[in-house]
Amino acid sequence: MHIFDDYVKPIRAAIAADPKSGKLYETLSFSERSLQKGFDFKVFNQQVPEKRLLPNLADFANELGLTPNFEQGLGAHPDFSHLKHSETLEDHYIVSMFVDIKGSTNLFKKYTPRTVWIVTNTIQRAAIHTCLIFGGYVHRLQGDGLFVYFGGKNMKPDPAVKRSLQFASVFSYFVKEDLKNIFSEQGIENIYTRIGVDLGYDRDVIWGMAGIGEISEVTTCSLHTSLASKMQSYAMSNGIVIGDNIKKESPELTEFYIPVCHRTQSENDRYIFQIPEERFNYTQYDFNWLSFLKRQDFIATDFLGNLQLKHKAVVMSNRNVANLAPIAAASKPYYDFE
Amino acid sequence: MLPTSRQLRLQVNLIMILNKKKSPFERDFIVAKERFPKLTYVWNAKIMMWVITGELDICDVEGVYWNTFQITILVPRGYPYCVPIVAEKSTIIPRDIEWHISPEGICCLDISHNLKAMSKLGIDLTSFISEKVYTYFANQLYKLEKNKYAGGEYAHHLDGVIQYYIETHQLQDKRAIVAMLQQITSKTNIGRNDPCPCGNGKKTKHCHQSSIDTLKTLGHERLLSDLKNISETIK
Ligand SMILES: [Zn+2]
Repeated sequence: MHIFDDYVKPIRAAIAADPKSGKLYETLSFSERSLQKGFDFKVFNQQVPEKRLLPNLADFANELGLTPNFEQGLGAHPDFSHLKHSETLEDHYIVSMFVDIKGSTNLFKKYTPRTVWIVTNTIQRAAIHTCLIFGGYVHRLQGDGLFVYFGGKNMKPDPAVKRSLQFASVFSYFVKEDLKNIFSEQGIENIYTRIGVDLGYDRDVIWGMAGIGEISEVTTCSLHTSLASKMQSYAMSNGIVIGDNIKKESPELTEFYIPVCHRTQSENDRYIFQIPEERFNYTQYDFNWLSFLKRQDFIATDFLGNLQLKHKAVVMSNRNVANLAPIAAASKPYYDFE
Repeated sequence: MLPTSRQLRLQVNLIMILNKKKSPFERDFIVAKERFPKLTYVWNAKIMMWVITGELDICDVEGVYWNTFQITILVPRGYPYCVPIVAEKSTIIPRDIEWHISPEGICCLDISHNLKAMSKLGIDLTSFISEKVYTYFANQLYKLEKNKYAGGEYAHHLDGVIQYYIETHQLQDKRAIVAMLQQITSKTNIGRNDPCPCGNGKKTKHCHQSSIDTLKTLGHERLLSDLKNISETIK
């Protein structure tokens, strides 16, 4: 998928420019080290702007007919921000998602902190941009990852669930496929994601201000927010684990959900949460996001089995009929109807 | 009432048996679905065929997306020894003889001789779709842009059959085709060391041996009717 090509570029460039990958870093004096030409913040911001999608990703948003809202602030979901400094609580459904980006520690073995900074921030910006495209709300940055919400007052739970799964799948594909080569070429263990998603209904979720004064945020108190975080730790590398309520709101996706205990072969992992007295057993599922993604209207699987974005809305300037010829030439049609 | 562990075990056994009983088609479809994820199938008992329907997205070698065809593939129950029928449900391809498609949308993927020979060896669903179906639709998109096909095409009807013998089996002309077909369809066996029926003087094993083997798989009737039809054009 080429939608993240523009995000892969600065990562490659930063790695190539890393002094540790060239000269023997240890032989340099401190001042030489700081003189080594690396990336600076300004250059980075030009390459991966904060509030502008890079061209390929912008095409993608255009294709989906979605416009990201860059005017969000952390810890104040626009539909509930009025609760800040108020004594009001509200009951409202929300999809909670924890996106953990793992493996960046390994980068310090090979690169300077400056390079690691570029790499992790580019990945995080790609995550934020993609999340915004799918209408997500970034509630908090967590390490290299994100804590995001999907849904709000102008949307029902089922489209919010679908958007959240689309985001999680597209982003997982980026990390799993697009970033894979960069690090394996360098002999570095791959960076990978682990994602947990769950839905709490109106009756399950309380919105309100947490903290004091300016040390505060508008946040949710919900079993299902906690479970999303917990399920993330059950996910495989580049895996997504979802809760029962997500499954309930997406019956057409049932074939993509497999109870986590089938993978771990341990019945203990079937339920992520139980209240035995109430016979409340809450199942967690592995989400087969790759199959789900392949089935999306905006995705095509090409001749080699790679996923590609389907451009319909934008006229493709880079389309060259000569590139069809190698595939087309293998066909030799006939006609024998009366 | 909860099922007993014995009942559960029986149930598990039953599922295992059902899985084992998966037909070659069903097993191969799982593989094909990875490459062509927007296709699904049902078994149609009335026509005794697997009916695959859905979307086929076409991308070029650079991975750039071009178009999506709505297609149906009918797979006879004899799979893998069969020739599937492919139809376009969308109407991107003009319904015209020059586009190798019937008014109902049935796609003439290849000359029937090749399809028959392929079915005798047994087809693989994924290869069939990628080598015959995907290429056919990519070629149609090519023609929509360039007004011609990227590779070759067969002439219609009998001319296409003659073309098949000349191009695929490297026979000089209609007389050579007739000589060849007469020999193959006659009762006498053609030995590997006998002179080749094409008449160029070489031993068969150094000449048309593999063509003869392929042609034999097409069946006596097919060869006889080709022989008759082509002979008539010489008179
Ligand atoms: Zn010969």
